[in-house]
Amino acid sequence: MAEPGSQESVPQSKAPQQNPTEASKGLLSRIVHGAKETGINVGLNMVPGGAYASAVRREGLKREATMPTSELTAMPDVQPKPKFIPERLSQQDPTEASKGFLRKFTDRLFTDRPEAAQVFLQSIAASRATQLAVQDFMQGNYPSAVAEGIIAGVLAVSPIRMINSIRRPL
Amino acid sequence: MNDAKAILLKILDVIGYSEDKDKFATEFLQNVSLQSLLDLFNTLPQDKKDQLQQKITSAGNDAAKMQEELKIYFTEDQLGQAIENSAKNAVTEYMKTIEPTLSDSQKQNLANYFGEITKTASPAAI
Repeated sequence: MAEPGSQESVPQSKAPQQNPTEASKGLLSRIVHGAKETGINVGLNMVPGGAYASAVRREGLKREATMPTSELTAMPDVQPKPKFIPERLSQQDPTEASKGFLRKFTDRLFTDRPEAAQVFLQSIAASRATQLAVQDFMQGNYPSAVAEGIIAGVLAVSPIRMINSIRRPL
Repeated sequence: MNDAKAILLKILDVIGYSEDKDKFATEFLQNVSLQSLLDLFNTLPQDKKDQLQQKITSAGNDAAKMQEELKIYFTEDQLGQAIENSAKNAVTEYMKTIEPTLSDSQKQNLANYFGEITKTASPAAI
């Protein structure tokens, strides 16, 4: 029985001693094999520029999961690309989509315009009373024009197209 | 039917808009008004733009005075056409934005509603 503190009492790791290169090869090999078994196409973005990585992405794990030594690099500090697109997901219901549309409509009115137009709009927007006067004037004097414009806009989207986009049972 | 706000409110109702519908419709129409005024403004040469800007801001909250000033620069037809175009473009874009988020029943209800309003609309609108 080994005495405490002696070399024999120190538990030895079962895995063979590895250098970083061998560790990387082993890890990548396990990742690709694991992905292959589950049918996932592994995007090897962490090995940029490698011919192997490109082939895997293109052909979907047809090649053997071996990594030529020349393809290996030290693992770079790469930030994975986020797949979650918050804005798109938040517009999945009509209320959020509507609000998003109105926000963009308002933003577009006041930005990205020739300076004269921006100054003009801002001078109107600076006064709530002026804004309301504009609205009262345009809508009050041309109510039919507004309504007809809305109806024309609705027709431009085409109710027929909307009906056709409804999924039919097979 | 020539009540633009009522049409918008009905659309919001059909699509199940869950927040303040009146506020949305008001802001939407306000933007349409501003857009139409901007479109008209952009047709003017620079010196007229400067004049119009001064006159609009000096009109303040007086809609009647604003009407007088605008009619110096634009005809009734131009004013009416500008607001009709602005409303049309805004609604088209809005419908395209929300269409992917609608359920089949909402699309069907909207289509039914559009069918109703186009039947009662004046021929000029179609």
